[in-house]
Amino acid sequence: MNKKEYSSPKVEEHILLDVLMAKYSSSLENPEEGGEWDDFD
Amino acid sequence: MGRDIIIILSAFLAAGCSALEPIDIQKDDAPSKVFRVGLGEVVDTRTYVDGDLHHYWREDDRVSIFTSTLNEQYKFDGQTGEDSGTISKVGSGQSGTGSAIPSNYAVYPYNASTTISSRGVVTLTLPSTQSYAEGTFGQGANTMVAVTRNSGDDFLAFKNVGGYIVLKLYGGGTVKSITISGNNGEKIAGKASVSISYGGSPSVTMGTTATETITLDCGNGVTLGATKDQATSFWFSVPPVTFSKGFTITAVNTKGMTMTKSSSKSRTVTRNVVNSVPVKAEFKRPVKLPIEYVAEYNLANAKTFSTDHLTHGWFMAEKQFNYPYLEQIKVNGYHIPTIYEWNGVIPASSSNKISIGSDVIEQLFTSEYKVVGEVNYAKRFIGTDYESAYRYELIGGNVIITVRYLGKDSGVSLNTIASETWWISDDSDDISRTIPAAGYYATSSTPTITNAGTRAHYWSSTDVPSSNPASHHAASFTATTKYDQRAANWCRLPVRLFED
Repeated sequence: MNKKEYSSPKVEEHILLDVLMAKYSSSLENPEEGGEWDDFD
Repeated sequence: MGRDIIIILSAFLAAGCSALEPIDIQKDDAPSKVFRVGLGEVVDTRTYVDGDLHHYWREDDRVSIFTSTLNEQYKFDGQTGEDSGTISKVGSGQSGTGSAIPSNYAVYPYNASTTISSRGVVTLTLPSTQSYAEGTFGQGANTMVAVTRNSGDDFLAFKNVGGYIVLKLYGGGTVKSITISGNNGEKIAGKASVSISYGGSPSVTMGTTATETITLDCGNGVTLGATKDQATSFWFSVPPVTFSKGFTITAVNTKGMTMTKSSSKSRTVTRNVVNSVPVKAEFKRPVKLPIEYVAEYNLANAKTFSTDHLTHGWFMAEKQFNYPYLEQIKVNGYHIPTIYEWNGVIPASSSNKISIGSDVIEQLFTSEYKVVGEVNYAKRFIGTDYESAYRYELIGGNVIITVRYLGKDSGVSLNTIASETWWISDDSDDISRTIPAAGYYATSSTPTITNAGTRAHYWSSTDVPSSNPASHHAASFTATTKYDQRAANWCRLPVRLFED
């Protein structure tokens, strides 16, 4: 490859925009209630 | 898409972002890719749960992301209290050459030492010390992992690696730390391998160097609720494990006192499940202190104790009248102490050997003293399990000895101890004894009592070998001074017994 492959300014801008928006989306797992242990009660 | 973007970003950074250079954006171009980035440090990070066990991010939480075997630091972009959102790269990440991995992986919290194999097995450290946080797990205590469907996917569904034991302590006091451990040597902290497949749950294998305890550090102390309904919750994140012979908890309070409770019942910590354990806090000193051996009152005679500090018997060293030899006096599990036992109670110097009960035999301990006005303050048994603060004061003809247990290496300074404000606060566990400064009774032709109200003289069972066998060492002291006294049989002294 060489720079000529990116000769269009619009292509360059599109790639740059993707770079600046580099992200992952995420979610968290909620723990579940498991009850009480009466070992020391 | 995410992996492509990382490759692009890394290449930009490597190039100093000076210009848009030709970049191969094909993700299947080579078996290994080069990420030219800097090494990040460990960052405290802290997702949390609320009372309904809903799990939230905090602003600026940090995550390790693996798009290859290189560990790169990302941060949560959203605000505290959000349960989803985007995460984006921090800095320039880890330098070196990474190998390809089957998907994108994430590990929470971020730690520069976390690694991943080319097969996607994560090696990390599960913390052996976790920090207390009110109503949730502590900073970075809750390890999570996530894996995307494939290397082109950018959605990370984080799964909790471990389960949770929530101790609900009540009964008063302020807790400094709590340690939990299995009774059969189960490994619950340290190096571990974590595997996860897309859509599945993580599984944990503890490493050979893993350890058997988790300590919850409560900082300057966490105050317990008084009743079971007001119990204070202490969260432990624990890898899935079966405590086949039960488990043990040990708590230390701000007074250096400990509570150990152990159950032999087999218990299983299940991934992502919270089990609560009510515990009534009953703190005890780990050792019996010298002051605790001292009887509350002097002897009235050879067989009974006085019931006040105004009346008591006057004893001679050898058998006289209806009194036996000093060594033979024993009343209800109490005996006449040696001079070395006395030294653990009265203001003895560091050069005095001390004996405590039957366990510690005549050894030296380090002590510091400071006299302020008429009050003598001391830090005694420094660096041992007996480390305690002492306060001596002569009030109304009695030497009042007050002891506050500190615990080994308490860090409490002598200057702090020499402050009356310190003694006034939280004195519920202080131990005090009143020792009449009764003087001595000289049995000369004109019997007289000397030093009454100003100095205490008490028989010990330690005789003086080189002199008359009837001569014994006596504990002779005021609030601020100890005298090395060897008393013969011409005087009579009171007797204070110590518990066997």
